[in-house]
Amino acid sequence: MTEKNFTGLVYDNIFPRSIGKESKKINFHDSNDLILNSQKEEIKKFAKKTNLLFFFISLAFLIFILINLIKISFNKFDLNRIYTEADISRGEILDRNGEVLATSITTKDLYINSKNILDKGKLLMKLKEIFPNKRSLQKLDKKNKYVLLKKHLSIDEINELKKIGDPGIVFQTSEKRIYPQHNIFSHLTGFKIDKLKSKLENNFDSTLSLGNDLNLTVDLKVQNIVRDELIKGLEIYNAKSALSIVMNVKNGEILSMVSLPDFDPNFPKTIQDFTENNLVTEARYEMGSTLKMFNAALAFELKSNLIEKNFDISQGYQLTNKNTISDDHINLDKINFNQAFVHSSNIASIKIIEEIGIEKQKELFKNIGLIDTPNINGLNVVSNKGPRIWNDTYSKSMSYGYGISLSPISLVSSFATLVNGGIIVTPHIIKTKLNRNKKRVLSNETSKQINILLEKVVKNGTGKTATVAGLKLGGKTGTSKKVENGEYSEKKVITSFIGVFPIDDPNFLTFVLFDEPQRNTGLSLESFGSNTAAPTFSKIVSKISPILIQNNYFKYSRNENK
Amino acid sequence: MKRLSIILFFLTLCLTLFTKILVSDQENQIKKLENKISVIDERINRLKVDLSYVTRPKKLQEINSKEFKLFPILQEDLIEYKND
Repeated sequence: MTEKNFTGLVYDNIFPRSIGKESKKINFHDSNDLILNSQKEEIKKFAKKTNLLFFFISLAFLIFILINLIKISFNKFDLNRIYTEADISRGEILDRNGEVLATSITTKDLYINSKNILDKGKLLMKLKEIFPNKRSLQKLDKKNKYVLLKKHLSIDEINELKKIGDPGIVFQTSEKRIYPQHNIFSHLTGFKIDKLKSKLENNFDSTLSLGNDLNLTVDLKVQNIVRDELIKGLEIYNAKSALSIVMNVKNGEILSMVSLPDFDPNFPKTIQDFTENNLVTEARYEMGSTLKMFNAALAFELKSNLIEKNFDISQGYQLTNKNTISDDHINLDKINFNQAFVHSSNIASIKIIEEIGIEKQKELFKNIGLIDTPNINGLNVVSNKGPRIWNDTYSKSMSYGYGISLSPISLVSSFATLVNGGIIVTPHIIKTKLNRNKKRVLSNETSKQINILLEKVVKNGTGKTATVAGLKLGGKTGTSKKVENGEYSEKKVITSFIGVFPIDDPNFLTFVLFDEPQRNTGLSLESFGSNTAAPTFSKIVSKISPILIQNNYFKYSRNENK
Repeated sequence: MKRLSIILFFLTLCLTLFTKILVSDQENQIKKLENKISVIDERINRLKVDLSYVTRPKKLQEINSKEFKLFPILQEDLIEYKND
């Protein structure tokens, strides 16, 4: 039988399964085979389904693993966050040269775990030997399980405690804020003890607590000199308080800010109410004659013919029914415009503002920042207190420095504009990028004229005592009577001097103020800006000027506002 | 499909174990490094604080008055050169 013969064979329920080309064998499937085949198909389908299920389970597992991997990466972030908040040391406060003004060190606190004490009597006795004045030892008698006995242990105390060897003694790590410069920057840094914070420590708490350092514009050496000289002045003149600022008039950087009396931030509990305020920013004064320079600025800016005018000061000026203004300190009957400032004439100041008018005065005061409160990042600044109604009397009073109370930082900031070419500057103590958007409120020419006038005040006028050998400078004295029981006191005065140097291109401004200086204890008014603040200014500038030169602080901003 | 699933399963298992071991090892290394860094940081900080105390102006003034007796340079001590 040939292969051909068999290929045509077809039975009802039998058909050839496979016929090999070379083979002569024929495999037949009977009906039983077909039944098995259908079962096999079912098994196959089930296997396929199982495989598919298994595949999806594996895929789900893979996805689960991937999700977990992603979670791990997120967990890492979380760990960092917890680490940042809980364990990172508080940031430092540094001066402009990186000198440490405030930092944190890790210390050990002593806890007693009552559960683990071996011999309570012996432990108490030993603890009393180490801490004879410690009242909290009484806490151990109570049934407290875990008692904090002392924070910030000294190394000697730790060694002594370790010698006791009682397992009830537990040391816990904690952080202590310290101020290596003690009082020198107390009014800037403030203090931090546990949750109690003040000044920069409080205002930049979030920055510092994240471990970021705070870089200030102040200079430790300059600050120390200023403070030393101010302390000497405070003692010599027996003043109630004193303050000083050194500022770069071109970019507003504050190099020194001293307020006396001050305090040691390492011992916040010893701080008294009258020492805590930074008088530079948190107090305001009627500044007296230093404000007269704003009249001069108005006259120069308006190109007034007042500059050519002479003023009769022989007769007093009746300001109100009760108040007559006089210039007893000037032995001249008539003075010219320059002499009005060189000799600090109150009458001439009134006459100048009479000519210029209230509106112009008001406009300048507003534009130059004498009305608004300066915003100094990190420091609390009191608002200036001007007149409620800007009337004729107030306008004239303000022309010679009364009727308006200013924070020293506000005066310094506005005065900087007078001398720096007429540009508004924002005083700051935190190092920031310079703001290139400059707002001009006075012409460069007015500023030059002001500087010439300020130089004359020091060369020939009330500011002679502010002279510094080898340095060209200019400035203006100020003396104002303090208000006592609703009237101006004859004994209590505020004396000040505001000076700028080098005067041909002013770079730095130094302001010195004494509150209630008493050169002599006589009845008459004997303390003036010229015999208290100006000599102190001279001593300060004489010492800080070489440091400013050495550190290239002059070069740093020369001709910036031109 | 069955083979693929099994391969996928074992691959995932291996990947998981490998990643777990790797991450644990790296975490341990990080912890060790962090401990070392914190110890060094603490030492540096202590030294910085000590230096700040030792070199604070009042201390330097004391040392100067005892040992050197130097005077600060004043503005008048500086010589100004001019091109005339």
